[in-house]
Amino acid sequence: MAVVTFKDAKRTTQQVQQNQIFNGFSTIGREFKDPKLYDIELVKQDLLNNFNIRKGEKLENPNFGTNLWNYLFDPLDADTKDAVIREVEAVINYDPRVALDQLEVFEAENGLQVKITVLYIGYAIGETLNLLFDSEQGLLQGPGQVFNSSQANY
Amino acid sequence: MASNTRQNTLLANTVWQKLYRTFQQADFKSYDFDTIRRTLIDYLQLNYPESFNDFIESSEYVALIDMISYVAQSISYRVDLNARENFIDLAERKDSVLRLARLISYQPKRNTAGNGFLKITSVSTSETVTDSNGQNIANTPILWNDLTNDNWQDQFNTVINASLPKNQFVNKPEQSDTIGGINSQLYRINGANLDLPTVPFSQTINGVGMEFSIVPCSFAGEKFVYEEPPIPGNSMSLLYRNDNRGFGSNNTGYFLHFKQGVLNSQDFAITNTAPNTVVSIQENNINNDDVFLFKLDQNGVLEQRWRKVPAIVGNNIIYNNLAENITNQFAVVTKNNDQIDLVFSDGVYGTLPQGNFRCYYRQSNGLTYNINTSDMQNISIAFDYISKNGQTNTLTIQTSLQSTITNASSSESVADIKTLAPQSYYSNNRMISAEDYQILPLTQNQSIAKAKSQVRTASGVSRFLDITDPTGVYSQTNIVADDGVLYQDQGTNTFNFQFLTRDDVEKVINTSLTDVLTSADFKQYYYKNHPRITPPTGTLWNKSTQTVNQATGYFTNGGALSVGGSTTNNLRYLTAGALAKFTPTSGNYFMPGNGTQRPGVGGHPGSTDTIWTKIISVEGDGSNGGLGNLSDGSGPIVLNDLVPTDAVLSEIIPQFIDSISDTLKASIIDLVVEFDNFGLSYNITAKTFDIVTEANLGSGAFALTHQGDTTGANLDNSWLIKFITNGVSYTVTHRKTQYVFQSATRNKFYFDPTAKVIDPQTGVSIKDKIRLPASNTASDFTSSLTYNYDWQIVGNVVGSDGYNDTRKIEVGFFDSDDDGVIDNPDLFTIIVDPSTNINNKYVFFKTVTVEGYDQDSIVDQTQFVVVKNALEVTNFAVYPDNQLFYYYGDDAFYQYSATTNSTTAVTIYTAKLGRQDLIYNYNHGAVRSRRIDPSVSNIIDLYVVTRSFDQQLRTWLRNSQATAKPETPTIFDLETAYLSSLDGIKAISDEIVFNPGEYKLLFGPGADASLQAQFKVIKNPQSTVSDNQIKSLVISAIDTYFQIDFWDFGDTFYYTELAAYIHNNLAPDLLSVVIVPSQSTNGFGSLFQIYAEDNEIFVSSATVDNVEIISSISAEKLKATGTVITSSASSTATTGTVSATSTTSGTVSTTGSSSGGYY
Repeated sequence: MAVVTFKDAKRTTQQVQQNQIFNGFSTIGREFKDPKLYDIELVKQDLLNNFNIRKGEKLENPNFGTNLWNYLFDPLDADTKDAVIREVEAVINYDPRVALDQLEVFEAENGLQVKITVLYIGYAIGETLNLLFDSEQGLLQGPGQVFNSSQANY
Repeated sequence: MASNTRQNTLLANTVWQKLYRTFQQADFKSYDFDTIRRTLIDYLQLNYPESFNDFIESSEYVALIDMISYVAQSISYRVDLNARENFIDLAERKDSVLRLARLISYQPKRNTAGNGFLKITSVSTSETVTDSNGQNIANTPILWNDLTNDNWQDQFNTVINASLPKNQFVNKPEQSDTIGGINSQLYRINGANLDLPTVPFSQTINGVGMEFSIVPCSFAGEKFVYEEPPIPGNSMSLLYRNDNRGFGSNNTGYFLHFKQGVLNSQDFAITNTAPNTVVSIQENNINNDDVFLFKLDQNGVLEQRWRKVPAIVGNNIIYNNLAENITNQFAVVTKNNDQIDLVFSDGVYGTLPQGNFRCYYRQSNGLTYNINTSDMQNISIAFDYISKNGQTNTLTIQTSLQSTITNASSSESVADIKTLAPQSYYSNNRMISAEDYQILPLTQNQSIAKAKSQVRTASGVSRFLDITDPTGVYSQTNIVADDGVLYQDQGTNTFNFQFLTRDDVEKVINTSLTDVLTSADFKQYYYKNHPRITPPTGTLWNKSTQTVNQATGYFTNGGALSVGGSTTNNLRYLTAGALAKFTPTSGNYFMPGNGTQRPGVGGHPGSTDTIWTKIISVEGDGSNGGLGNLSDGSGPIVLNDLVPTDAVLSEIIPQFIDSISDTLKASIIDLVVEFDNFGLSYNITAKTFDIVTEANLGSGAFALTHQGDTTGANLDNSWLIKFITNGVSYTVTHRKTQYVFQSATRNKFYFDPTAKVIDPQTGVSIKDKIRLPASNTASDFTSSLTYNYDWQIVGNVVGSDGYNDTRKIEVGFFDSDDDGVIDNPDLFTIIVDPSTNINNKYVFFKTVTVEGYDQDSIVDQTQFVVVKNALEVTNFAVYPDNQLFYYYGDDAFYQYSATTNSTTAVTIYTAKLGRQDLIYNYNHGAVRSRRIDPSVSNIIDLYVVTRSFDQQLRTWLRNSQATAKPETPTIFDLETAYLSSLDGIKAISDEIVFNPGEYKLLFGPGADASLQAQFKVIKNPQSTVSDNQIKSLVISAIDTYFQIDFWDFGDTFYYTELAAYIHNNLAPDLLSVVIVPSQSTNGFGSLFQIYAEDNEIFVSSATVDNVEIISSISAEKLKATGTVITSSASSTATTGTVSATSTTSGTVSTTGSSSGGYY
């Protein structure tokens, strides 16, 4: 498979019309004077936030988050891969606004690469997320692809 | 109330959880993370629904809300924490609690040093001094009360006098007063020391090395003994006390005061005077009492003592200044770790400090411990003194502790301060009301675990009139009344036991069975029912020599007679241990005090017409081969009384052996392990107990007709004890004769079986007794008794519910000279004589129910017509309606109805052989004898249990009572420890009398037989906990339930409360727990409610042996079963698994005697 240069990864451009069903805020990769996010972009950011929260990190809610980061140094054998898949599924299934379509796990130099295809429910839009869980740089996002859900293979 | 504390703590400890849950449901819990977070989210949802709706946990903004909530919770917690530390109920830090306590003028207590008095057991001096015989006793140790030295007192006084200044000598002390009811004198050694007059010594107490000091003491201006302020060059003082109980008394002799700890000092200078100056002494463990402050002169020498006052603010300082004329004053403020601040006055009502000061303070170890008498024995101390001729000599003293010290205590805990400070504030630090007297002893002394005050009033009487405490606690009583009732209670007692091994059986024999043999009622049965032996006519006594209490001689009938095994006539029963009755020759009477008989009629004091004595020994055949006297002039037979020559031997009671031989013991064990029924019959010829086998064992009334019968027809009814088994356990029944004396209406009796009162003049024990004077009519109701007859009081009459019926008392035959031989085993016969005029020889009782308990109330004899049976009543019609009849032949009561002209059986009455309307003189010796100042309005009996004694007692109980029972502190120790703190805050018209509180043991060994119990537990079958663990948990719960904090004196125990607590603790492993009395005469439920006396506090002595795991509750299981430990005389005897069950029919009596040597 092709190698993705994650250092050059940029935020996925929102390519759909904003209905402003979901209204929220984020300061990640944004200027503080304009923290508002809406709909798919907000859902996606919440999803990435969830991947960034290790279990035990969240105040007064130690069961929230993912253990995925614990597997970065394990050999990516079948058991580890299954565990990673379960963690990713848990994160995605936690948010009722998205559904998991496809999921692939690969080895990476300093961690794991996970390729996820999710569908934004109610928007008829899907997106392929190319995520690198890097032990040194944290969660990085490679180029993804947004598509109409009618193009999805299901 | 202790019950409130107990129930709130033990049973209602989930209340806060309920409250918390209630608040949670009502959404009042506002400062925790969850509520703040929810509140913020609610706020956003309510106010900004259009701008924000991303409330998923992974939202960045939700993370911010979490952070805000967390910070808010943390701030709230700290604000709350700080607020809590401002309320004494809630504060946790000791610094906060101390500060808050000071706010309400409460002075938290620092540690208390163990302190007390060492009795001087020997003295010696290096000075050349001579006693009254001219003997030089220099360097010779003179022992106190040395029975081998006739001149010890003179020599002791000589040595003490040598060490005193010129203006003092024995009986001319520096101080003299009555302290704690005991005459006390203070002497001052003419010391040669220039430094502080303290003498350090080290002792190991409970394995911990401790430093102590001998310190000078005084009682000048106070009613208690206190340590003198430390002044260099001051001399050591000796305290002499005399309680008028002889030199052997623990409270008579010379004493030295000691304290635990090291006296240190710190100098400081105050150059700038300012109001309310504070000086800190930053040393740990400064004890609560020993802080002394002196101002120094320019040479650093003590110049002026500053007085420690309770408080240095407000009315206190004004009072101290104006009323007490104390201007140089300071207060001591307690800080953490028992450090202190010295706080000086404001300069208006007290002097502002300026200059150099020295503060002496004693640092003690801050521990709670007991000092047993064995911990301080033969401590040697030397004092240099200046003799009368100006030479320096050395006084060497050996001292020993005489009573257990229990006043050491660690500093007051935070919990105690929080409890007691508000109570102290409530009582305004003075004892006026009854409530104050309950509270302030606790607030003033942290070493007191429990205190209870009782008032007895005696107002309006001159101080110079000796008054009598009519209750008999503090005064001897000598009461004459004419409503005496004497009766005999003949029946049986039983005890039960189970066994696993031969050792178990042997333990029962050594304890329970031996108790039976030595008991008064068992011997009384023997004296009453076994035949007396009539000696050959004309047998006289020839007295050869006599000493104080014994006479030697031989029996004669014209020539010396052989006795014992050397003859075949009835004199063969005259062996050592036999009792012999002598009567005077015709026309004479005895004067047993000097061993003479005189012509004339007796009846005056000191005379008697009968002497009962014991044969102490018989040498050879008792006649020296017919020669009579031995070669040294003494007789071969020794009697225990001064029987005069020519006294006529009229009766013999063969020796009664009250011990069990090894052979008999082995036989009993063999029969028991085979589960055989058998009896024990006493053979007066062989002087042994014979086994009556099951085949010969009769079941009828006592009779000697078939004694020794071996026909196998169950004819032998001579048994005194019988063992009957059901294949699992044994019931041992023994015959008894009990004598009871009762006052019908006018008097009550007080008897302490553990107390022994000694006459200081004679050294003989003073026994509580009932004297029936000669002015009573004799048994024929016509003539008079001629002589006074004394009955010895041997026990209280205690009902099955533990109620001590003080209207009646158990009496026994008197032993006036303490020689172990009763004076007259015919007392009851002489006074009552049922064989004559029997119709008037019954006393009657009616069963009445008082507060739920059945009691026997005396009914006058005149209400009954007493006849042998109904046949003796020829015409009922001559009697009025409702006339009561007693048929003594049938032991039945009937009531006549004039309407139907018939009688109906009634069952509420009982009859016993005896007499009523006896004139009697009740004489009681008070063990706690002290003079009561009658001018005070109130005498406050303050019962005290110290923490260290409580700890020691519970440790002793937990260790199966394997060691000696801890000694209670003495009255003097309590007064020394606590009176100083209470004397200043009590009402002037009150007098406090300290008493050690008593524990009432429940359920286990050591408890009264009627209060011993088995806990029967049904374990949850689902539980995985072992039976032994369940037993252990039950005992642990019971021990917790009976912690001293949860009980007050005089409380009432309710079993259901205990059961609730056990269930709370052991659920779900336990399904049910019931309490079943061990004494078989007590029914199920008899222990559901138990009373304690006013000076008693409950404690459980139950062990795992008192817990039984059962599978189900049945009527059989609820019957009284278990083990009653009847012997606690020896600590080693009760260790292990001694198992014996003691039961009695009807009421039981605690036996004891105010003296040793009864029987």
